Amino acid sequence: MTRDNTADRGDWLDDLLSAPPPLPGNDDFSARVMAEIGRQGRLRRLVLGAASVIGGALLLGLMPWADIMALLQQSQKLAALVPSDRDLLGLAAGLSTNLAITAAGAALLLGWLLREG
Amino acid sequence: MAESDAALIARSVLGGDNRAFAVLLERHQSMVRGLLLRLTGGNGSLADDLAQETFLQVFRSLGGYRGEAKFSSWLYRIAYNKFLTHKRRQLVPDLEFGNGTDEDCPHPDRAIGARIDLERAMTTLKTAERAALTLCFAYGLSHVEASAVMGLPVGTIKSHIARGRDKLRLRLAPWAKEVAL
Repeated sequence: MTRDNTADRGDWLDDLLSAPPPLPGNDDFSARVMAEIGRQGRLRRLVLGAASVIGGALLLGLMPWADIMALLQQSQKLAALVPSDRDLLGLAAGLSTNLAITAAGAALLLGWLLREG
Repeated sequence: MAESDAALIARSVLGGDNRAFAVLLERHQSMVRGLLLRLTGGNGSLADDLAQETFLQVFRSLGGYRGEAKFSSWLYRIAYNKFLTHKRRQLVPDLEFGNGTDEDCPHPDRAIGARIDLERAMTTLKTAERAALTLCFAYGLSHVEASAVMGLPVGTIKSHIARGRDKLRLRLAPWAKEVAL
């Protein structure tokens, strides 16, 4: 790009201004920035990983609800089919398992965040 | 031969090569930190904190750099905006760093003394005046490039430079003969 401020230069003040400004005294600045980039990268990967686990657990948790809805629709249609105690027990167990997986994932993530932060 | 900025950016963005970004960082950090040191009125730790934020943002948004401006100008723009954001957050008045009237005696060592007094006098200027003078004189940007960095019209940049120089000339008057010798 063509310079358009050459006319500004030429006297003692402009010579003084042309020198680069001084630097802060922190000699390991670059190392500090690269370490922070690495730390944020690890954090991002962990959050993404944890989100995948939790998302998967939540997805699994939705499946029994779908079964319930299908069952209810069927029962309404047929007006005779009522879920047995055994079916309901199975659905509750499935939901509890998935909730436990989700809670464990959230606890692991929280623990890691507290340790890193 | 040193690898160009464009090649390093490509390696960093396309290849995920953090070593390429480390070279870019090492190459440009002194200019960014120097600019921020001046904008913060000589506050070294604040300048380095803002410089770190600048380079973290650069790392995250490097893929969005289109090469329309020089890479260094793009960096200065991010650094300048970081400073303005910090200033707004802290509600820092423009003339917070002192009036410079108590230190008008020239330092016994001419070169060092003039530089010290220049930095002191710089703190009495408005942010935009400091930034425009540093970008155009110390870093050699054209008015057009400085205008892109600061997001201001070229005419406004010229006004900031003229006003800043007038104020500095007044403050540093005792150095006029000393430095010219």
